[in-house]
Amino acid sequence: MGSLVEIRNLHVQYGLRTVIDDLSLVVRPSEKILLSGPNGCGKTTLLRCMMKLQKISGGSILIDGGSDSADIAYCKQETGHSNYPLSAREVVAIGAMRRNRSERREIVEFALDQTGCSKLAGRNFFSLSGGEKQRVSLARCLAQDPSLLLLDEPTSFLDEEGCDSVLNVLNSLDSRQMTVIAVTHDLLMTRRLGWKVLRMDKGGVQWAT
Amino acid sequence: MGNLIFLFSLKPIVLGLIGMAVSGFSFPIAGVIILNNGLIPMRYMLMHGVILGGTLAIAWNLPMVLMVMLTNILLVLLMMAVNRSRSMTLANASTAMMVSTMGLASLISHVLDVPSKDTLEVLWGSPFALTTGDIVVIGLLSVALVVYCSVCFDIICVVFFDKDIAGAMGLNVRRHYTVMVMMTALAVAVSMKAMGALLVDALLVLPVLIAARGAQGLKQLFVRSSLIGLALSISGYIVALVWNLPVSGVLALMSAVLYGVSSIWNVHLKRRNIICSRRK
Repeated sequence: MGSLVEIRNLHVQYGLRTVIDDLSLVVRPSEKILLSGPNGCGKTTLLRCMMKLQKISGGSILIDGGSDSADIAYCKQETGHSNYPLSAREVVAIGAMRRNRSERREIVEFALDQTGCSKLAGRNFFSLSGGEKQRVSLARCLAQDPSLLLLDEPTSFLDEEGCDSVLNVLNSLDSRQMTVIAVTHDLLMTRRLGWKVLRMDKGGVQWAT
Repeated sequence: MGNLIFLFSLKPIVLGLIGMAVSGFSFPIAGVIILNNGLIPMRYMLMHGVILGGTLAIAWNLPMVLMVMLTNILLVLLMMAVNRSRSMTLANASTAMMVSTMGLASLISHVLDVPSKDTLEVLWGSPFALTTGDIVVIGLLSVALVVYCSVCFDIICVVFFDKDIAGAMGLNVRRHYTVMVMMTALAVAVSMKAMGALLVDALLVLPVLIAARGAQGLKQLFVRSSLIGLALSISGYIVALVWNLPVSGVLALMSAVLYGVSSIWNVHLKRRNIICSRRK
């Protein structure tokens, strides 16, 4: 089986500070990985490098063999701060923006339904609770149906109920073909999902046993 | 009534009404872009750009709208270059540019002996001064705004939502951001002749603030803002005509009053919802 993500000797610096030093990692298609590690060890930076949102200082990152059309969905720790409305349906539709109109409506409704967000569809995204926002964001990612899904601490700032609903959605990803890399500090998430855990420290990574 | 009918037989009055109606409908779209992209400091800079462009046009006897549009395009390009170099934040760069443009306008009006009364007209504006050429420019920009927002609605959604997510999806965020800022710059420039540099917000921003009360989605916000902008600009124009008052001032005050009323109504609705949910 080939690799979907291939990182070789990655080196990232913010000014004089080295954040990631000589990191190599191979992730296969359909693999689901939890990336954990102390604050500031470069987990979010690694995700941003994969999306080309962060310049790398050395090494290489190949997604889907270096294809420019690599389809990546990204779910942030905290998404969007705005005083102006965007409905939950509009947010989910962002994920399906490359589909044709006839498919789109169906995809959006399906994603909303899968994440239990159908009742939230007409509400302003920015007025939702943290857990609801996170589920709508996951619905957006499901509507995109990407080859690689990157999640940055999807359960942080959530109460028990919100956390539980998000973990249920993440559990349902096991049946999907997409590759998932989720950054987390949450031990409950690690236990509940049973995905492989990759520990990152001082720029290096190793599989947790 | 008879007086009003007579007034509408005059060409400047009809051109003014067309200009106000078209810009009232479409320019709040630029207002949505300004508010969602946090472009308020840049919008102030563009208003000052209007004063610089207006002063240059008067000094060199050039077409006002064209000169103001050119000045604002140049300012936006300069801002984008500063932003790309990351040497300054957009807000700080806008402030620095705003002061510089005013300084330059002041020097030019002194050196080239621009009459201060003419410069003041740039600040206040009048829809009765709109020419057929101005209406064509307003119409073209309005069509561009409506078409861009209809065709690229999804892209606008994602750029407003989160620029990182837009980037992760492989969208060219910078290109779309530049298009949006350019359209905003042109809308501010074109509004200047009808509304004056100081009151462009009544046409661009206030209808959006009113529409944002209770709107649940972006599509709803665009449509409501445009309809409120259209209703306000036509009614403001007619009220100004009937009472022989300056259109821009009347429109700005009407917008502000409607914003106040919508705020009070919004508070009332929130209280009612809290009471209803407690009863349940």
